[in-house]
Amino acid sequence: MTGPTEPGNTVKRRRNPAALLVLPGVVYLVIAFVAVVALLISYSVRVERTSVLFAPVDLTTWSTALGDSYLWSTVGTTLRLGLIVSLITVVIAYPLAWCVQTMKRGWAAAAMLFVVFSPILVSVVVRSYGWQLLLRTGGPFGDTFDSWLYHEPGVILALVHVELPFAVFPILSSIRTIPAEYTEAAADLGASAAQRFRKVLLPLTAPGLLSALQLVFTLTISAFATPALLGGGRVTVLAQTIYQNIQLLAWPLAAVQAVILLVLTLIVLSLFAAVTRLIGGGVR
Amino acid sequence: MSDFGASSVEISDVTRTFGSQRVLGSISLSIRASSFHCLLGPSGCGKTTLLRIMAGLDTPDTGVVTIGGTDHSRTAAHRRPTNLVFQSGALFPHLTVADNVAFGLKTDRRTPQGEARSRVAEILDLVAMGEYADRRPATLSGGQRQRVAIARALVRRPDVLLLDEPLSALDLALQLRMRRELRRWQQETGTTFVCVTHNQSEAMELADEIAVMNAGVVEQSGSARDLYEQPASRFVASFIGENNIFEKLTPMDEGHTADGLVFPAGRADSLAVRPEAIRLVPADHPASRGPGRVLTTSFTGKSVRVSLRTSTGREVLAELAPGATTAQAGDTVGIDFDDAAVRRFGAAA
Repeated sequence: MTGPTEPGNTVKRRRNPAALLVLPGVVYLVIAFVAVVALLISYSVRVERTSVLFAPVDLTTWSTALGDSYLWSTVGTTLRLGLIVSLITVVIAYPLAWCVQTMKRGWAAAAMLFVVFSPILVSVVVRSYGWQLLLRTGGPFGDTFDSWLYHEPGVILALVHVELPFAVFPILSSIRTIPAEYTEAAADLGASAAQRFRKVLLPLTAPGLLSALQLVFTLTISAFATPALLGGGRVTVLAQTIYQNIQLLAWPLAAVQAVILLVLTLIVLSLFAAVTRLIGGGVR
Repeated sequence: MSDFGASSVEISDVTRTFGSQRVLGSISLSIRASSFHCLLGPSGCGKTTLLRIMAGLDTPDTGVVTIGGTDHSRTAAHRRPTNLVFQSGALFPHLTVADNVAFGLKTDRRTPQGEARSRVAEILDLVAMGEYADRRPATLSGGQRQRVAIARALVRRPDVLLLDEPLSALDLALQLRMRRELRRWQQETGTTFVCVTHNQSEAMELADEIAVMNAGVVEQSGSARDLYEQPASRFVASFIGENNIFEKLTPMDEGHTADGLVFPAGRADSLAVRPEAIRLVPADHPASRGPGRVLTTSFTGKSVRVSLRTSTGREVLAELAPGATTAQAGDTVGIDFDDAAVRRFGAAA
């Protein structure tokens, strides 16, 4: 006997009305991501910009681009910046997050969070020119940091600054899930402060650390304005060459580079996901 | 089992204040080596704070904590000869059962690896968790987690094992079973166990000695029998076992009365009579100390429990042998008890 009274049936038939709420977001993402990526891929297999949607496939742009050593040096700079910036940011963010968590007074923790989040309240252009004023010869630090401006250290400094909040937040939320009892239990079992950190706190906050790394890395390798303004044309990342090629109307080449950037991002994201599974798999 | 430690604990004049709230007001307590000692009291009485002070996880404002003859008042938690079992177990979620238990052996690096492994296996066998060595805490039941937590603390062979409400998260049937097991582990290891609980039947079943705490002070410390038969205060009388408490003893023409019953002459703010000391007699019987209306009667197997109301409205519970009464709800009977069964508290000056 099957009928509406059978629980299995009724459950299947009834849709969750909340699912409709997801619709605008899904439509938006499909248009913004899938359509744009499809367009990019179609542009990358042309030799010049054309209004014909289904022009014949031509891989000349791909082979020129992949054989270009300048492109690979740009890819190298992009990845190096991503790696250095995400490591420095996370190393700074981790103690910051602990500091916010352990602050006893509510207003002090709120003030600390405001300081951490202040970089994203300032426009990227203003922030970058601010860094230029700080670093330039004759600035408040004399010529100490002169050699940093328009070179990689300056770009790294500014990128770490703006991406700090994106690292603090996931770390802070992972710290907040750890009950004080774990640290107390570790101390009670003879662990010194260093052992408590290494054997209990670090492994339990590793998922937060990894998502912070992942977020900052992704943001850094796609950053455009900060490297453009503080790199002074000497530090060229992938996002800038894409922009330059669009300016030069070399749309297929820009598309090839954009696809490379996307693939790099996807590779890094899946690497992080694999590591997270490996570490976090047993915790839950 | 050999090699397990056992030390006495001496607490002298320990006080502790959180902000403006005085949690412990001058506690002094002696705990014998190799005994099972319970700190019993209602929530908020300071018993957990006292336990955490023994563990070194909290620091007293004043006073001295001596463990095995050595002053440990200012010793950090990780250097004390004590180990604590948390109410929640606090097992590390990222480690297996065996690694959780081995944690406290790896921290001091004095225990060779091979010995550590055999000690972990030995202690997991003691708590009957040997076959779960490779499981993660999240896959264990509440009772299993508590066994692992106890093993993790015991494997370090502390001089004193501190337990913070170790059974309160478990269902009643499991609590009853684990009480017997806790007692057995204590006897097999010979370690001093100090156990915090709010459950008087748990304390009475487990402990050699019970310290009854209330509002930051130890009201009375002694064996379960001492506390039951000779309660030193009204609080202890009402907290340990069941008791009928009567207020305001007033002198009258014939003896003294409180709550409509006649008591032997004397001074007291309150009086206590155990339910099992009460007898029911006919209402007009000369031995009757006063009338009581039967509200309910219930048969529990070992006894008949009769609840009565005196002429002033005070409820009285009588616990009688089955067949000792035929009283029904609505009947009026006489309430009787021996003079010797009356405990008096707080004689007014």
